[in-house]
Amino acid sequence: VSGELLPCGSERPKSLDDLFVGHGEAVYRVSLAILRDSSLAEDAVHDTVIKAWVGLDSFRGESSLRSWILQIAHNVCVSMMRRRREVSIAPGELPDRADSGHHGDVERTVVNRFDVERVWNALDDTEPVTRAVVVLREVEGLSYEEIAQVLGVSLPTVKTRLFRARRSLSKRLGERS
Amino acid sequence: MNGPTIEQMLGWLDRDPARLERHLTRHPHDADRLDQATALTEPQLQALSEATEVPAPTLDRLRVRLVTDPAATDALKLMAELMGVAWDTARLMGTATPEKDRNRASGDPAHPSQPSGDER
Repeated sequence: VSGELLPCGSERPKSLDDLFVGHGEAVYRVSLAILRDSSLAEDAVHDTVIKAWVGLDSFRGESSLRSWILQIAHNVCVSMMRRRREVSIAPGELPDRADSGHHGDVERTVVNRFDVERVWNALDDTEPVTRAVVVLREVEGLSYEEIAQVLGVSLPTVKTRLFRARRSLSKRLGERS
Repeated sequence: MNGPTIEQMLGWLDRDPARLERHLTRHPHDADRLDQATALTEPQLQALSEATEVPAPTLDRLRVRLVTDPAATDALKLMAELMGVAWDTARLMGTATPEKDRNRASGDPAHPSQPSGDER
C-alpha cells in the first residue's frame, strides 16, 4: 500500500506517523472547535489517527482522504460529547499562544492573545457543529459539499450556520475589518 | 417574481435561520449572495487562523503519544493479524490449489506460504 495514489489524487500515507503529519493539525483544529477542551481534543486526535490508520484499507476514494479522516474525527468527537454530556467551555482551555514559540515579541503576543480570545468568544456563542463548519470552511478550505459530508448535515444547514457565525465573528472582530 | 432582497435574507439569518434554511433549500443560488455579503475580511480570516493555530508543543506531545501508546501498537498488531486472517481465508477460498500448495511446500519463491510482509 505504500505510496499508492488514491483515486482522488491524494497519496496514501505510508505509516501512522505519515498520517499524523499530514492530517493531525486539521483533526486537532476541528476537534478543538467541537469539544472546546484541549485535553479532549488531543484524545480525539489520538483516537482518530488510529481509527483512520486501522481502517485505511476500507477507504475507497469516494471523497478526499482529508474529508474521510475529518469525518472520522467528527464521529469521534460526537461520541466523546455523548459520553461526557457536558463539554467544558472554560476560557482557560483556550490554546496557549505563549507556547507556540512563533512570536518572540511580547507586545505582539498580547495583541494576538486578545484576538484569539475574541475569536473563541464569538465562536463559543455558537453550537459545536457551527464551530466545526467555520473551521472546516475558513481555515481548512473545504467545499460546502465536503463539509456537509464530513458533518452529515444538508448544504443549506452548512451555509446558514456559516453565514450566522461569520456575522457573529464580524461583530466581535469589527475593528480588524 | 423577484426573490428576497439581501437585507431580507440577512434579517432571516439573524432572527429566523430556520426560515432562511428552508429558503436556501428551494433557492440554492441565493446562497451565493449571502456568501458574498457575509464574507470575512482578510484581517478577520487572519485572526481566525491565528486562533486555531495548533501550538508546536501540542503536536510534539501528540506525536510522541501516538508512537509510544500501547493502544497504537495494539492497533498495528491487530491489523497485521487481520491481514493474516484475510490471507488464510483467501487461500482456503480457492486460491490454494494442490499445485500451489506443492509449490509452497517445495519452497518455490514465486509462491510463498506466507505474505512477504507489509509496510504497514
